[in-house]
Parts: sequence; C-alpha cells; structure tokens
Amino acid sequence: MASKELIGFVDCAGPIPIPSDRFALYDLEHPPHHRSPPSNNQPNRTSVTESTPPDLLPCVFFFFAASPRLVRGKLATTEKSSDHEDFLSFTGAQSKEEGAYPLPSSMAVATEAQFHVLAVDDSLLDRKLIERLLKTSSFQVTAVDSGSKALEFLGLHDHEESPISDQLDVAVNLIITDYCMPGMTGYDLLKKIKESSYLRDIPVVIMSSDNIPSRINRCLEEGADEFLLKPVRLSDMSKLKPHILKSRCKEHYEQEQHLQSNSSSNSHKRKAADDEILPSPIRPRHC
Amino acid sequence: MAGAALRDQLSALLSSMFSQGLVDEQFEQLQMLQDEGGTPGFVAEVVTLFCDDAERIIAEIATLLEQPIVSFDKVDAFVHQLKGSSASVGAQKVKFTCMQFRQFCQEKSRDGCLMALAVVRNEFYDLRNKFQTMLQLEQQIQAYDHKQQ
Repeated sequence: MASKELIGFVDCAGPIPIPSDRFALYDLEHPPHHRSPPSNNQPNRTSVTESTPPDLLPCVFFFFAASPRLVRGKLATTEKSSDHEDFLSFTGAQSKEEGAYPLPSSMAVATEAQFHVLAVDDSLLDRKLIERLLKTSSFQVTAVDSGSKALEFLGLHDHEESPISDQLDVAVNLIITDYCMPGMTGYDLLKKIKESSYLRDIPVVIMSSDNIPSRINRCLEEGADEFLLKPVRLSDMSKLKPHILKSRCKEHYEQEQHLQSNSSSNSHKRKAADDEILPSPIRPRHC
Repeated sequence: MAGAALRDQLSALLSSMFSQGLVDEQFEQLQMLQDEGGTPGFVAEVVTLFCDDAERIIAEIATLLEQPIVSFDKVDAFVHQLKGSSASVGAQKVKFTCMQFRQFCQEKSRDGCLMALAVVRNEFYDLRNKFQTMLQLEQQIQAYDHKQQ
C-alpha cells in the first residue's frame, strides 16, 4: 500500500489532486493546451519522476508565480534532465485526456532531481570541483566567479533592493559560495541576500578552507544555513537538500497564511500579469 | 607497449604517489567523481588547472620576494591560494609546504620565505612530473584500448 497522500491543489476550476510523492518541474513556457477540470480524483500517471528518494517528506510544495525566486520557470541551464523531459511529455499527453491535471501557468512544482544550485567561487579549479560534486548529486548548476555576478544572476544589481525586472528568469533553490573572494566576500554576499526581501528565503551555504570558529559563527548568525570546510566532499552534498526542502516548506506556510488572511478578496498585490489567483487555500499534509 | 603492462605502470605510479604522501584522499575523491559521474576527462582537467595555477602563483611569489620591500601580506595571500588549490586537488605534500610557508610570512622573514618558496617549487615540480606521467599513461592506455576495438 503506497504511502502516497493526495493533497488539495488548486486552479481556477477546483482542486486538482496530485500524489504527494510527485514533483515535477512545470515548464511555464509550455503550459498545457487545455484547462479542463479533473473528472475524478484518481491519479492516472505511471511515472513522472524516478522512484521517490527515501528521505523525501510526503509533502507537495507549491509555488505561486508571485514568488520572486521562481517566475516564468525559465532555467538558465543548458542541459535538461530526462526527468524534465519525461514530465513535459507527460503533461502534453495528459492534457489531451479528460481527467488531466491542468496546472495554471502560474503554478510550478519542482522535482527533487531538478533543484538548481548557484555556486560562487573565484577559483576556477574549485568551481569545476563544486560543479562536478553538485551534478553528481543530481543538482542543476550555474557557477559564477564572483559575488557581484551572483547577484546579477539573481536579478539584483548594486544599490538595489528589488530585482531589475518584476520577475526573475531563473529558479535558484540554493546558493553555495566560497568565503574568501576578492571584492565581495562570501559573507558580504550572504548579507546582501538576506537583506533582499526577494532573495532572503533562498538557503545559503558557505564554504571555506579555513576552520575559524568565529568566522563560522558570524556566517551562521547572519543566516547561513550551513558552513562547509573545503575541500568539499561528495558526502557534503547530502546536507544541501534538507535546507532546500525546509525553506520551501516555510515559504509555503507563509503563502498560505497570506492567502487565508486575504481570503475574502482577490486583491493580492501581483507582480506579473500572468499570475493566477488561487481561490481556495492549500491544505498541506506535513512539513 | 601492451595494455596490461601500461596499466601495471599506471597502477604502480598511483600507488607510490599515495604511499609517499604526494596525494591524499581528496585525489581519490576526484578519481571517484570521474568514475561515478562518467566524466572521463575530469581528473585530467582538474590536475591541469592545478598545475597552471601553481606555476602562476609561484612566479608571482618569486617576483614579490625580489622587491626591495616585500609585501608579506600579498605573499601570504598567494600562498593561501596555492594551499587552497592543492587541498582541492589532493596535493598533500604541496599543501603542507604551503602551511609551513605561511609561518615565514607571519614572521615577515624574507630569507625564510625564499627558502620556503624553494621547497614549494621542488615539491610542485616533483608532483607535476608524476601527474604528467600519469596523464600520458592514461592516454596511451586509451589509445591502446581504442586500437583493440
């Protein structure tokens, strides 16, 4: 008996159940053609992703396009994982059938295999290394060589509180940065991220070759989720996913609180024209 | 040279590099990442990056130590960089010599630094020779295997 839980999922027509062990990165540039309400509650999917990893909580996390970290869902990666393609072809197939699970273009659910990490390190050698470590651990990776390039990638520029455009073009699930970098250190970058209302929920991991307790504490106090000693090893990669899942759970609850307090009106402040309003609250199973 | 003989040579070389402390578990990690990730050129790429890095840093340090007034902070920064690279690639002996070098930087001793630089250079050249032999053997093995198909 599968331990799947059906969780209420919403679009403008009504609840769309999605099994709790299913995650899929929804390509917002290629939404399904039809938007018919589901005819029944039984999921009819065979496989969207690979087998559920054992450490994954039985939850589904939903993002609204209003989430500034995740708008339009266009990933700045050159390779697509096969999971992503599986899901795209899946949604394409499903959308032609009755009982499909149409997702509004504003909705996106991310696969655990699709988590996107932004790596920041001025050393080319270390960038190569962290890239390989992350890819081997099934993350998608963007690697940049400075804090300012990282902020640029995240949509923030110097002296600005909010992104250049209303929405970011990429979804970044975690930032991993070296501490010692010329110009903007990893600590400076961490501070800038935490000061930004758009970015502060993205978990940040600091790497350093120096084991200096005061440095470590300073970073953790500033909001870093983890501090890794270099050279980073493959076993360190398993520490990253829990932070991603934790932050998304938190964001989901915050979204729900916001929704419930505004449930009488549809007057959410929207940041993009193609956002859709969810009329019913989501009931999470567990976070 | 026959494939088996080449493989034996490579195996013996790697064994001696480990047993002499030239490389440590981090280098093993790199080999494992290469095998696990199915990325055949990974170790070669990283090793080459390290060698280029080290060569450049050593030259910079040498220049700094030749100045009438030595900026030990700058020297230390370079040594720190080299220490980081050597740790990342698993170049254990070079890493240790960097740690010793930093002591002389703290003491602001030009002579001490010059001596430490000589030691780092020697260790680095020794390791680089072995890395080059390793890469050549790997290429020869690949070429041999390819011919057999």
